[in-house]
Amino acid sequence: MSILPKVNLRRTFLIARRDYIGYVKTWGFWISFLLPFIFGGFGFLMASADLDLTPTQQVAVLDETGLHADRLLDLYNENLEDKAQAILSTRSYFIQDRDKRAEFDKILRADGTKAAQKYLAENVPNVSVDYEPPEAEFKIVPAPADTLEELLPYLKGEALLSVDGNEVELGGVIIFKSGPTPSQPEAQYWSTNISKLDVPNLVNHYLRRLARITYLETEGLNVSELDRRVALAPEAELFNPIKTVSDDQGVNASDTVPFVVATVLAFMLWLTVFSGAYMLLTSMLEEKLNKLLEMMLASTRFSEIILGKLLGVAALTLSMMAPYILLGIAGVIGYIALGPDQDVVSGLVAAFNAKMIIFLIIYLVLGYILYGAFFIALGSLSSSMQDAQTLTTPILFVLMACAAVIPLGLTAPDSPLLRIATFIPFSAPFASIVRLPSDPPLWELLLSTAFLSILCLGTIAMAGRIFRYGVLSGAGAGVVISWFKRVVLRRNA
Amino acid sequence: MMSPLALHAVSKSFGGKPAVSDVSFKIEPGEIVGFLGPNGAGKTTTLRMALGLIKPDSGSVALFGQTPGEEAFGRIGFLPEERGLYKKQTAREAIAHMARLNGIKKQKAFKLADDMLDRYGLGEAKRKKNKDMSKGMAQKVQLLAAIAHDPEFHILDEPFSGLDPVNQKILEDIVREIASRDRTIIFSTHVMEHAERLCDRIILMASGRKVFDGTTEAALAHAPRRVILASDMDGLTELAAPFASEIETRPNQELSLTLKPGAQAHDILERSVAQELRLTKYEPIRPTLHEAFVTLVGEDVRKDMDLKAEGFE
Repeated sequence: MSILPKVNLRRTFLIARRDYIGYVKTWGFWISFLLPFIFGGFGFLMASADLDLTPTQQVAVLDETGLHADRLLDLYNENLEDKAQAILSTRSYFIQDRDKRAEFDKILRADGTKAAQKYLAENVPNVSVDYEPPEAEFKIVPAPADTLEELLPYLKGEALLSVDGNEVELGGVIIFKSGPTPSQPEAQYWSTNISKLDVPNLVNHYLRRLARITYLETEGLNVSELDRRVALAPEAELFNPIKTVSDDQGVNASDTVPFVVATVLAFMLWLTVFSGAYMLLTSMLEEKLNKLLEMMLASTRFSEIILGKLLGVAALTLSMMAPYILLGIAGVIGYIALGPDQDVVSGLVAAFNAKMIIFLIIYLVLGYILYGAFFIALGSLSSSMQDAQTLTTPILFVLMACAAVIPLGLTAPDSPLLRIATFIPFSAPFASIVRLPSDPPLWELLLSTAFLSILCLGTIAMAGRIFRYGVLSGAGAGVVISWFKRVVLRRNA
Repeated sequence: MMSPLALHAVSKSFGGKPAVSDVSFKIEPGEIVGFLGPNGAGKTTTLRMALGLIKPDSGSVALFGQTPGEEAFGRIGFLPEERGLYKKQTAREAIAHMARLNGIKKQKAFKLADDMLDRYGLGEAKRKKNKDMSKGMAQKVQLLAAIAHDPEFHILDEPFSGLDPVNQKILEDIVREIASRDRTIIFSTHVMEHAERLCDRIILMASGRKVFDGTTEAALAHAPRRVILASDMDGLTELAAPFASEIETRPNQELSLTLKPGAQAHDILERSVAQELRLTKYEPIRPTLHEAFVTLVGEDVRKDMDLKAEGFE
């Protein structure tokens, strides 16, 4: 006798097809399907329109000491340069030559954006030197008056100041007054926009730096030299003693990319399982409320309805995820084909190995069946959305806990928790995927798959019984208790 | 020909409470059987066992001579008591979907759906979504979905419930039309008039037990026979008393007699002629299935039934 239930493929297909088409015809499906394109298009339009959603605030400085206004402006410009360096540093990914890339990074850190642009133009002409400069959230402008009293009408919006020929409001005023020592001035910030903290943060940064510089200079140290040496400090190199693909066992992007890829894949797997299982719940509930199941059961098996629903919603989930999956595949293939950073390319190639693909498919199927069967069973016991929410809360907590395991793949792939999670069927799909780049023993993966498969079979059998009972009963959360007493405890409810 | 359905000593309890007790009957090909009884009588549970949706605790069920299951798929048209359709499907899609599940090919299924909707006056609703239909229309569409594949055996659970008189009449016509094609039908109802009009045979259920199984005429024979009498002369009560088991005087002074077993209405007429008592009204009342049911069920079972009605169905 086969442990697998008999199914008629035609009827199963018809049920799957109806579920699939039933959802595809809804607005909700198309909104979800087109969401990435809608967001992408919206983002493109916004970028094209060059809309300024957070207009730059104009800030004036009243320096009663005459010592700090210029230095504050220097710090402000340094911050802008730091942001520009962060933007320009992404050019590094497009430099194929590893030495040139390291040199570019070093020049950018030590000598700034202009020097780095010059280096690029001279040494890596195929990489663009142009970049969109960072937008300042506030701008330091000359004060339109010399006292706070005279500036108050500007701060209250009663008067406007002229900046670059435009009439604009004054957003705030920084005031430096004499303090106990020249390096400890009294600083105030006046503004009607008290929740905007970037200006006071800059002032605080300035005051802390002033204190540091003053101390170093009084001790006879050259601050500029210190800064230069810090910028030129070497960085730690990473080595992996079990690495065999490179002569020096040095660690680079090719080693870290598989971990990132595995984490992203595990997250996508979780998202697919979660959205698929939840759709199964709503589909089951809709079926229950439509009261068609009993009629269908005169011409179809229970197993065909369950399998049909699992397949229909699986196809639906994959359709909804298709834009993300296709964009991801296109991105990976595109980078492997054209990507200049060969370390990343080799990391991507290593990440998408046969083992990863095979186990990803196995865990996707088993994870979906496991959670899907649970949600089908709970959906068949529910008679309203409130019932469904009440009944699914425990299993949702389990799913959330599984999501918390995924980041460990990046931060602590050798964590004992991750290893334990591999053997717990509920978390196995996600934990195993994030462990794959660490090359765990094959027996662990096979044992984890076996545990998961056994629980899947048990869950399907249990879901079948619950489904059979739930469909033909009045249902509701109370039914679960009476079912448990009657069927599991063999007591009279 | 093989009997479409045979139940032998079938019993079913839920949580220790009996829903169906020791029920046996057999449906012959081509019969229209009314499965009657009040709410909670065990009709739906029996029909679910007949289809194999739930297993009996004891006894056996044979559907087309076999244990209920896949062998009967496509040969049965089942309309359950609880009604519903996929809200976003159109009427023709709903009918075609069920027909396809019952083995009809896609093109034929849609043609069948269109033909049936036209034939039963729902042609305009073909492309109407189920959510936009009236209750009566949706109920008719569901019945058509259940029978579109022209099954040999129709099991209709309370097909008339929730319909207005016009739609009940249309549904009766559909049942007659199915029967005219020599199909077998069992339908449950707690409204006896439908059974009286449509059935060759009735099975009466009460408190999970079968209390009667036979022709409609045989059931009616169990109903008390009554006569309404009136006279503008004295002595009517004395004249009628020997024939009556019960005499009720109506507000308009008419007498409602329940005849004793063996007594005939025309005996009263003959006696009145003999005694020269002029009758102004002589009206033998046609017995109803409802009255037959009340007689057959008995007082004790009726009390038990009232309690059970809160239970299973």
